[in-house]
Amino acid sequence: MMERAKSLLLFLLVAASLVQSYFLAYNMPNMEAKEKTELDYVAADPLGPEEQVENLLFPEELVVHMGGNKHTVFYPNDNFYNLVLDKLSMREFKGFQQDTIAAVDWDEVRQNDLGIEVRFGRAVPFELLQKVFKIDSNFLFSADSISRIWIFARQDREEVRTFFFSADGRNVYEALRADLTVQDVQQCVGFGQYWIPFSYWNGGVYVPDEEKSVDSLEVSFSQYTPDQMQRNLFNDPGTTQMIQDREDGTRIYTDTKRALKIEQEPGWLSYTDPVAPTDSQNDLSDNIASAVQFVNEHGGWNGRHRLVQSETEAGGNVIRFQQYFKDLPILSSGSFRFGYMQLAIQQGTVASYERSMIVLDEMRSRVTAKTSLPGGEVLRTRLLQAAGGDVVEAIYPAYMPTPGEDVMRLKPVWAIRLLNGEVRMIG
Amino acid sequence: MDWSRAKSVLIIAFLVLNIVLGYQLWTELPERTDASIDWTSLPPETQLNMTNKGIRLDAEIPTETPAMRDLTYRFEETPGSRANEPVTLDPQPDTRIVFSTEELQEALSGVIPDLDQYRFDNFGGNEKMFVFNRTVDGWPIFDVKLELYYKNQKITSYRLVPIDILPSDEAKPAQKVLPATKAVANLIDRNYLPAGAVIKEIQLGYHGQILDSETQVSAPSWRVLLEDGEVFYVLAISGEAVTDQEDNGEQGEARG
Repeated sequence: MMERAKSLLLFLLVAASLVQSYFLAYNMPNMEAKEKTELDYVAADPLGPEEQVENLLFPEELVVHMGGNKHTVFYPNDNFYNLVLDKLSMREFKGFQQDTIAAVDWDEVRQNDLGIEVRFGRAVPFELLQKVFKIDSNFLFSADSISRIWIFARQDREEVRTFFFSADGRNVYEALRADLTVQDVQQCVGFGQYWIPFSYWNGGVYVPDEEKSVDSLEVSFSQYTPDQMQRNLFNDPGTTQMIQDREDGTRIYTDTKRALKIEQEPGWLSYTDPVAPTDSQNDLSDNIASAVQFVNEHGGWNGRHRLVQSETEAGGNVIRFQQYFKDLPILSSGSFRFGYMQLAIQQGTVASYERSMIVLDEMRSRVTAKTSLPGGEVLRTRLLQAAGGDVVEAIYPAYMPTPGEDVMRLKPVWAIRLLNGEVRMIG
Repeated sequence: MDWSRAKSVLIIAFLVLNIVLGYQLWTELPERTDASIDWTSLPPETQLNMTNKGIRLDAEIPTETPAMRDLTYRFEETPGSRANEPVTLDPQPDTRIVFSTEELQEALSGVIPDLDQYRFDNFGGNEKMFVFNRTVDGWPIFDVKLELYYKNQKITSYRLVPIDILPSDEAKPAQKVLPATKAVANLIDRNYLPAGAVIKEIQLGYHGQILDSETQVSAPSWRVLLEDGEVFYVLAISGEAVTDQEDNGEQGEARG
């Protein structure tokens, strides 16, 4: 009897251990190896040249005040622009003191004093400006952003005063100890004597009194392939999936989180990575630095670019870079998008990235015609029409691109930027 | 040989083995049962962060960790087309039926296609509409919604973009998702949740960026809803935190 009970017990124990082993083996979550994603971890190969933040911060224009209410403007494509800018970037600005904008009678300064006005066309944080100009770090104001610098020499006194204008238009910061001399200012202003006269117009911008001649160009171009961009933007292309179900040939690559949309015809890409915002400070300088770094790694900088105000949002999240060709900005219109890169950044992480895949070949450009842009009364009338009652914040020459079979035609035009950031071309 | 003694030895050996296996199974038991757990099961440093930032958890933390894979589906109309205006219902059923699956089926299954595939989303609606999510194998796709508009306690109209589930890529194996505790700890420890946030729901389902095409791709994700209506998704395979795409979409569309 005892022996039978023991046999039964043994049998039950063996069966129970088998059942328990089964449950352990097939249900143990920790034992299941994490599936390694497919190999081919491709290092992103740089597609275009890299760039540094300081090279993207050059001013939109330099206004030269020659006294007696005479003015002229140097745009980045003018010879004197670089001469003046080089001179300024070698000087030191120290001992900042804050004041309200009304502390100086600017109308008086504009009309009578020799001076140079550096206009950036957007807010540049002090922190970044230090990379371009020798500015003494000043903790008190360093959180502010600067939109203009005005350096002028009093006619009657041997004195140069330098003012940095805060972007909100409320304050100025005077550099009490700047090593600029009256001779420096006079020399810079002297360049202006040889240039087209500009008149102060409508409370803010300077309009040329004469026609300005700019070359029309034809430039050869090449294009990044969708494949190159896919490999570059997804570090594991093996996990991405391509969707092409639209008739216009638009391709979408996605790894379920990030998505890359490539519009074939104009060669435009938009990449989105819906990163969740964290609960920390969104710092403009950091965001700009991350944007530059991201472009360095993903597509590179083909040609010169300048940090500009984005048209849609004034906040620090959207960073826009304007492409320059032969030192003039390229402004596209209508459905053809070209000439800028735009990134949305959340606390230093790129949430979206848009750019053209077209690469202009600077070495292979041809002058097709000399175009003269209107000046004087003709331009002023057109300006008023184009602005349609809005305040004009800036006027500058630009190229309007038209894509051809294998060349890009660049036609010079006047462009205006309105107070709300919108850019319009005067055709 | 003494068979009886051998049996005794074996009995003792198996008894010990059973105890060891039993202990193993028992320690894992909490991870398996479907019983929900509360915030005390989060890692201690996460609990500390919660206390410091005043984050509250007013939801149960689900415990399931099923194996899931990415999901591909196709909208029968492009989402942006806006051709899909709400369809007016006639007769208009009472609003209370949304809380009862049978009554809802009875009233509307003839009108709304695939109605049995949709599940009520407790927190998705507002004072004008109820929201249902399309489900696949029991998991909701948070981006595919059936909206029932109501007024004066009657459901007046509905809006729905029908979808087709496409066969998934068999080459990619299904993977066990991260436990919800990890997803929530991630959001708290990496500073995604603002101070004073109150989590009101945690749910597993599918979420993806809405692409500018008919075909859409969704990944298994934990949806974490806050009291103030903010939505966070944590990808349930990689653990990355993602925001609702609507804000980003606007920025993405920004152009000159």
